[in-house]
Amino acid sequence: MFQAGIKIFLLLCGIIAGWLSAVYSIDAFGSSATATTGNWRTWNLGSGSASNLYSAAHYLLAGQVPPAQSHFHVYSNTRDDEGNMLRSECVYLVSTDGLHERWWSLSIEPSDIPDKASSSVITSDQVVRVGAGNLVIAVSRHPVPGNWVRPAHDGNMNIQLLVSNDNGSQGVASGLLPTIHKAGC
Amino acid sequence: MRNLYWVIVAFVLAAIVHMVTLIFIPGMVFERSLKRIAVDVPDNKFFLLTSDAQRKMFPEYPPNAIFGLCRFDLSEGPVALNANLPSGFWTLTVYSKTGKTLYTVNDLQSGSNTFNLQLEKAPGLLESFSAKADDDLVSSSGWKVRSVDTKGLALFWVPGNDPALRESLSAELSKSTCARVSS
Repeated sequence: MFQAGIKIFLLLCGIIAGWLSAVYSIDAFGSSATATTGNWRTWNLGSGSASNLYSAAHYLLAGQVPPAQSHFHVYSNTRDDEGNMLRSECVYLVSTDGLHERWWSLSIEPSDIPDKASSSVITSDQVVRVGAGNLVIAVSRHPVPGNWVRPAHDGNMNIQLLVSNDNGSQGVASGLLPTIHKAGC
Repeated sequence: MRNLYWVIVAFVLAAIVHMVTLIFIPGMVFERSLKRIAVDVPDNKFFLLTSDAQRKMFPEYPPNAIFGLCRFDLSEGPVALNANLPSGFWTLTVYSKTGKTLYTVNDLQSGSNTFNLQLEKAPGLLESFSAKADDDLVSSSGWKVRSVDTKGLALFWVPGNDPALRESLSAELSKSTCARVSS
């Protein structure tokens, strides 16, 4: 009886370990760090790439359609440039001199709460640049003058950047991805 | 020593669960979500995605974006996709039923906002060997996508930058059709 219990326990451990390792590897191998500064990660959805299996699973398991890499590059970030988790009760300034691609969108996830007054997505067509083309977007639960995007949920958040693929497989130069600084909580 | 065998079995089981989770389950989940997005719309029919479905399936896209879909089924023959798109930025992506990208094109690559794309089942090994040279000539003369899967999804995307233009852009895109090619 005791021996049978050990066998069942080992088999259960195998099933749970297989599942947990798959879930872990989707995030660990599906995306890769883009730069030495900041915490942006890129999801490599290119056909035939080793990480494609994991990055595609990231979207498919959520019931979402993975963007085609020939159309878009996908970046995500869960931390500010100081390395702290992004929290929706704080105000963050997302800024860059770059992002001059044909089209891009910056979204805050999770974003499943319908909100007609505001959106958790902002696109290249909606933003206003200042000075010499500098772009600053405030991420805040409360209205902020200028470019503003509102998280739909309380708690941790993930900033997702979808950039049209204008230059082949290279994507956005890592130095031109936005910086994220906390402005207050 | 007696338990070592079961430890090895547990490791093998972990590897199997790992691979199944990554290879089969994502495709099954995607297939189910494809069926759920518009249960009343049959296969091989073009339709625009509702806002609710769009929010679930494309959370990183703005609410003004417009998505046109055709869930194709090639089991009874090829399907013709007649695209009618507004001028400006748009993309078309053809996915297999398990979410693999089969074909992509955008406005700059196509050079035209109206075109026909034929979706057909890829020939099997025997059919490939028995194909005549003339068949290749015919298949390379138009826009064709050959899919190993009989089912899949053709997805049009238009940014819809201005909310005021959304209705007219939707009307333009909804002129697109998707239908089985009559033999």
